[in-house]
Amino acid sequence: MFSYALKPEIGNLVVLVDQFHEFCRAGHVPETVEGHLKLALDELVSNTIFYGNPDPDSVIQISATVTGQTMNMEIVDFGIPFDPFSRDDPDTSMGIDERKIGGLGIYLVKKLMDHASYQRVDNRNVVRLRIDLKKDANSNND
Amino acid sequence: MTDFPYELSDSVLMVTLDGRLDTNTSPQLEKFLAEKLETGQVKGLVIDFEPTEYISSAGLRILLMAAKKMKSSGGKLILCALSDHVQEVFDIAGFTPVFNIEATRDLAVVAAQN
Repeated sequence: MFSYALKPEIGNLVVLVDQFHEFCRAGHVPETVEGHLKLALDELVSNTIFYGNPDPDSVIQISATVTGQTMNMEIVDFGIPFDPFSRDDPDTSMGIDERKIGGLGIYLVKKLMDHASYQRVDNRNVVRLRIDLKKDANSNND
Repeated sequence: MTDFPYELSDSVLMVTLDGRLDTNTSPQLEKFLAEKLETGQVKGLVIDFEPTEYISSAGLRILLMAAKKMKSSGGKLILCALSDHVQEVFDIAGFTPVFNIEATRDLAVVAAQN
């Protein structure tokens, strides 16, 4: 089981991702899946830090467990109610000049994960993610 | 700290993205590229993703910016050696059809020179 808590400062993401990398390596998580999960951590935790208005003394809690071929992750913060998945999907068909990047991060999380959900539980924002660890092997066999 | 090893030869700047391209490191890449591109000596830019651990939307933003800069100066931006993770992110973001992507660094350098 992976468990980590960080104060809401953007520099703390480095250590979070380092620790998560160690967890993935110990569990032989395929590199592609690990990349997807690190992206999800970066997008969601930075989103909370930038827009969630968290109390500087509070913590953001991340936990992850591997059951069989599935990893489940939970990201919990004590900021204002904020559903990261409520935003409209961005237009990804624009050319280089017209392209805007807003909303792309959360869209990537939704698409890369097999499941992504948000729930307000008491005074906490709870984001749950699930990804199939065999994704890597499957896509290589295409 | 992410490092950006680079090489400049025949007006082609080759940058290797070693490590992570995320919320923390993307501002560093932005600054690095801005400094290199403002010299006006760069006609071709090759970005090598071979050792890249992962990319998030903060990194995609910098790539988009670099593409616009190169386009406006009449230069070329070529990306190469995308891992399965980076390729999948590109596909979902709709970046694959709008960027020039080569399988290897050698092919990318040739494409940047032409």
